[in-house]
Amino acid sequence: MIKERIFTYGEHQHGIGVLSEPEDTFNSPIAVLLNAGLSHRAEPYRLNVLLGRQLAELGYIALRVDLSGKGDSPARETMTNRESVALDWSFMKKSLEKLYGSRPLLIFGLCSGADNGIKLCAQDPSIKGLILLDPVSRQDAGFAKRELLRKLTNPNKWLNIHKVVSRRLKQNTSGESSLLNSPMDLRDEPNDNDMDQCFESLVEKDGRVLAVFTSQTLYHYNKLGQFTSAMGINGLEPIIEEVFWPNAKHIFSIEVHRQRLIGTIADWANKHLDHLKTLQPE
Amino acid sequence: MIEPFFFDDSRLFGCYSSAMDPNAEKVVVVCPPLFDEYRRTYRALSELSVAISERGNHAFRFDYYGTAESQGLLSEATTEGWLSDIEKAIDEAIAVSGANHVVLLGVRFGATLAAQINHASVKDFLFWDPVLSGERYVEWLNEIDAILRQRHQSAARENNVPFENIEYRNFDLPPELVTGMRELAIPESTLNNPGLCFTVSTDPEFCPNSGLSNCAYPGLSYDWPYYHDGVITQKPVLEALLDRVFV
Repeated sequence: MIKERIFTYGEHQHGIGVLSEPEDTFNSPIAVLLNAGLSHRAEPYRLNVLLGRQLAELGYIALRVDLSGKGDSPARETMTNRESVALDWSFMKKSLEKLYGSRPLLIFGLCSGADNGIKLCAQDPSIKGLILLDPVSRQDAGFAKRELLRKLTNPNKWLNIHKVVSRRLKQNTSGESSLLNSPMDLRDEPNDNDMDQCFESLVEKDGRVLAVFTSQTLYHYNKLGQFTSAMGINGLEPIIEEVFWPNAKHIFSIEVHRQRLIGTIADWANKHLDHLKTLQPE
Repeated sequence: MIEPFFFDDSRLFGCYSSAMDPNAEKVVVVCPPLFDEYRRTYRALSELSVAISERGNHAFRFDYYGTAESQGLLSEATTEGWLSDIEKAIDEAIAVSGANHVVLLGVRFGATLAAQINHASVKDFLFWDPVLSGERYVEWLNEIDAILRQRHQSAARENNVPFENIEYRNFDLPPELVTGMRELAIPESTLNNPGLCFTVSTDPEFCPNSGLSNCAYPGLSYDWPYYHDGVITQKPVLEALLDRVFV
């Protein structure tokens, strides 16, 4: 039987979250579920609530939390997103340490949540695990070839070639570019340094990573295993599991996809719980 | 300042925003919309509640059983249960705020549910894009499922990946809940009563077509089933609602 309670953090304890705790919290790693984009801590589609409760059933302490400016947490006006998230994280850690002492930490994040997870992990030795939904991925040597093949073998592209050509011509002659050239334009994604530091440190810490890729990432990820091979870090492969669902949408708007996702994460979390418990919190 | 807590033996989750004015007698109880509309309006309703408290009244938001932060699963939810949750939220709001004048603010199907409530302390109803007919709302939900199926299908075609043969449902709703939702509607006696109810609608045709005098279009249009993605903060709507609370 899990228990739930309110969590607060920050300068005036204005930051808000909800903790799901297993019956016995002794030694439990803590999974922090960050906001996905602008959605509040329960979302998208209650995913974070159901996942948090499932993780608590397995033996994790799960915290779903609103970062500043999202859900019920007030915004900070004078900081960049990176600064504000880093400050939120330091406050959250303090509040969690008060409640449970030092524990191995995991971050779960979709979209900007994944970006924030990587950036935080690059700086924080206590983060031992990442569950990333649609993180940024480097392109490996075969990406462009696979992308070309996918386009050339797509009957839909050939049937609509006149529309594509006409659209391209219009774009070129108008001198205008789209307001958002790619969905990544909305994101404050981790830079190369963040990526290297995060995943190199996870290898050193013997951490664990689950990375899920949906249709949203097809423009930078198109083959299972690409993330690991493109990172090119020795020792990354044994600690990372990649999942590629090109049929699923970015925010898992279909119930069947959400159930599949929760099942996959629960299996992964269950498999690695004992190992994560053995890791020393910093 | 938002104070979150569980109530009703920890079954339900609520957020209280205390009035800056210590003599405040009104508390606005927010009946949120359902499903994806809840996600899209969450921040807007959170900001509205803070604005209500800063302007001098109390605000209380809560989640129906089986939704968001409240306990339970959607598969266990019924409309009778949700109506009982609203009654409990009203009692909780009165208890924490000490106010005795309740404004019931219903958003979308939250308005349909709110309109069924007969509680001595509820003196005003305030609706944001109310769903007048549960029957029609269920059709809208089915339209959303069809839109999602179509979007997945065209994405599969566009991305050159096989289309999955699965149920394309945003939420798998239990039949009893769907039946209960179909049966609800907003009584005209509530909607048409200027002394009791006020409606803010983002459909520019709604106020003139319905002939309601107690109705306002805030100058901003919004198509609820179509704009399925994204999070909305509709400032003109929030200002219109806020103005009504302080009339």
